[in-house]
Amino acid sequence: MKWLLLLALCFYGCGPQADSRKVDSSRFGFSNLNFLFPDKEIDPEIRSLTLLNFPLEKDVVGFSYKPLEPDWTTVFSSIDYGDKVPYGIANNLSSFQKTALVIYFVLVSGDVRNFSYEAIHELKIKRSKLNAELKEIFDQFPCFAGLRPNHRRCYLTQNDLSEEVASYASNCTALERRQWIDPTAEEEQQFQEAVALCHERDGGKLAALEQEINHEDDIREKAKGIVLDLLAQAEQHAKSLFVATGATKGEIDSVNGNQSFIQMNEERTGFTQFQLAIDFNIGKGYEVFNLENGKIRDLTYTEIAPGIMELRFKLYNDIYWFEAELSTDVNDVYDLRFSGDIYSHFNDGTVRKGVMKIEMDFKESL
Amino acid sequence: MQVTAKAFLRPGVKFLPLFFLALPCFANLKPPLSLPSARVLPVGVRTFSLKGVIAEGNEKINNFGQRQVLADPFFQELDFATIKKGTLDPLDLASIQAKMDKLGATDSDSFGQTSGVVNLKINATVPVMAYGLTKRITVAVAVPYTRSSLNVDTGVVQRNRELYDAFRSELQASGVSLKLQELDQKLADPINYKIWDYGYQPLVSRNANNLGDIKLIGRYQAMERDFHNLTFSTEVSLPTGRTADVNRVIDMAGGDGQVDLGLSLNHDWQFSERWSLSTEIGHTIQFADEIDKRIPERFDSSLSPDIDSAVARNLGDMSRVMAAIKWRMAGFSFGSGLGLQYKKRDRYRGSGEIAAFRYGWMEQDSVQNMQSAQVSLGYDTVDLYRSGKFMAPMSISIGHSRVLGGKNIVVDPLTTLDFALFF
Repeated sequence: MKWLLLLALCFYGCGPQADSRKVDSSRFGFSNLNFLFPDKEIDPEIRSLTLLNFPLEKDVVGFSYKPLEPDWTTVFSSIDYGDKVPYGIANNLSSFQKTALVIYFVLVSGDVRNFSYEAIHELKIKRSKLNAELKEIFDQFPCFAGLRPNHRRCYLTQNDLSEEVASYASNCTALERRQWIDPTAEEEQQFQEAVALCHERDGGKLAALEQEINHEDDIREKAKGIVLDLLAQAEQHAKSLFVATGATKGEIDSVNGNQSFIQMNEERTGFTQFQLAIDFNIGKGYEVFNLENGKIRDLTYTEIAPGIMELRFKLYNDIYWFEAELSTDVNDVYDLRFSGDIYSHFNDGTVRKGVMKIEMDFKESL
Repeated sequence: MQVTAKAFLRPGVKFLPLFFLALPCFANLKPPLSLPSARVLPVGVRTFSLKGVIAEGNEKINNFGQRQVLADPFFQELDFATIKKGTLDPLDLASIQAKMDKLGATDSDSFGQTSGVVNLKINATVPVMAYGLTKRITVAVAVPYTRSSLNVDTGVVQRNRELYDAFRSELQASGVSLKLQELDQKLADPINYKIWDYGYQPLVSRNANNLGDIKLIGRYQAMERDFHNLTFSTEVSLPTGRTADVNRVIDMAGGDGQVDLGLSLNHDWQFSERWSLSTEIGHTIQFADEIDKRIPERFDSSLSPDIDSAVARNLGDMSRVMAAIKWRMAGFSFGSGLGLQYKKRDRYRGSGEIAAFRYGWMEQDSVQNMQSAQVSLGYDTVDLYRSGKFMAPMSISIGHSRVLGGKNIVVDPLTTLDFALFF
């Protein structure tokens, strides 16, 4: 009878308990981000503002894109993985593939722009270093221009027969062309040695650096042109709005003089002023969006994890409103960046994802 | 003619918890709980029986007839091919591809592998009341109640530190620390992150008690002569059990939420004093209904963030054939049987918000078949009662069912204890 009761208890009695089994895990350890604002003043005027919405699959039905040449080839051959970038968008692709390609081209073009920006930064550092080295030489030979009729020649030191203020050569050729009045043999020898050293140090490097900077600038502009051309065609096809332009240091509002500026508080934990001047391409030119006029709302700036600051806000225009979720980044190349995703809610109920980037300078920066 | 309450419990009775996981969901065919029988109760006789069932959920047979652990969908390689396959958002795909190209990564480059364990224990108790309405008609009601315990755990083994560092550096250089944080969270616990990201409840071990789908059963004796007994049965399952929660990846629901109508024909042949052969042929119609359902975003996983609150569902009908040979002497009985079951494909249709082809992914692997074997050992006091040597007619039996083969089914065996009192 006892076993019968046990059996009944087993089947009808208290609930079962599954075996407690665990699986092993192994994970790498990563250090937290070390996020610190440098002890530099932030220039409140925004250097650059990027605001893009990405098309949806329904936007690209029947869409195709023929690349803008020769810019396309110039831009994508400038990166080492340029051969992986597909050429344009064929009409026979699926809407999913077309949408992914539009976004891919925008992202890769953004990378190209970043590569060029970083290259320009490096080139400018090199140029600056070289200029400093040359300046050391130029500073050794101040030119106190002689009074007429010797005004085309220089004294090495100021005297009664010279101007009071010295001028300095700005390049080796200018230095070499200097004519000195009554130099000593030793001074003449020093000058010739300095000219030789100047040419040795420069050797056309400055001109080459300038050329490279211009080349990278050109690639940056062309990459921007590709994105604008691609999205403009997509906009036209979808009859929607994908691109907006901000009034910044590089994109001045010449009509109304509206500006984009952000002023952080002293502790860098929030904002005392937050204004964006954006042309949403709806025929209103650069409109002002700020907290005061209520077109920017729910602005928060929060440390959501060690070293990770999140800037969130909503911006309302006549066609759509978007919510921005931006990371903060400080580094030597870009100074201060707020960048991340936006979720745009259009008046017809469509929600499109996009990207936003706000770039700012530190005042003592290069 | 006498009948024990177990005769009313048909194979495929859905009081066992519905177990659904990221990969094929096995909601229907179950090993039989009792041997077939064509008996009906004598007029005016009532029975109360209590059936206890112990079952586990550890293993399944897939669409190709291969055995897999239930946690199989948790074992995923975290390579780019898998990651890319896992998205329907062109923005995500483009972002991944752009980063891969920038880093020179290929589809086969992997961050590691996820793993998991899922095991389930279930106890079900099914009280059944039956009554001999007329000489030929018996009616019954069964009210299943289940207690289940689920153990689940997931993990990740991270590999390829260089790839991690490269990806993290790239995100850091892009100035998107929020995405870097997201990457760290995703790769530290990929399964639970995805579950959270898709809006499911956390995957935790837990216990649950559920009322199942109540069954109303009627049996009509069409023929009884020359040691042959033929009955016709109908069974209606009412959707009284709690249905699977769309916000749980693994749920132990009590029912599937729709009405079933079961029809069967049973035949007993008493070919000797102690031996008999019982056969059954049956068909269960699962009526169409409308449910909330997550619509898969890829063909090989049911995980999805997209819920359609008006999915037209038509679960596939089920058919079965069973045969058992039984021996009985002095109250002792022994039986052994074989069963074949088949379930047709489920059908789903959306409300129009989500691409139609994604509904088709829920239909794949929904065709099921099962071959099972069963043994039963019992004792009853009917003869003792009739001879006045025992106070009441009652019976007790213990049964065991095993799955021999099939596809798209859970294969763990069932053990049952059945106690019945006649009055």
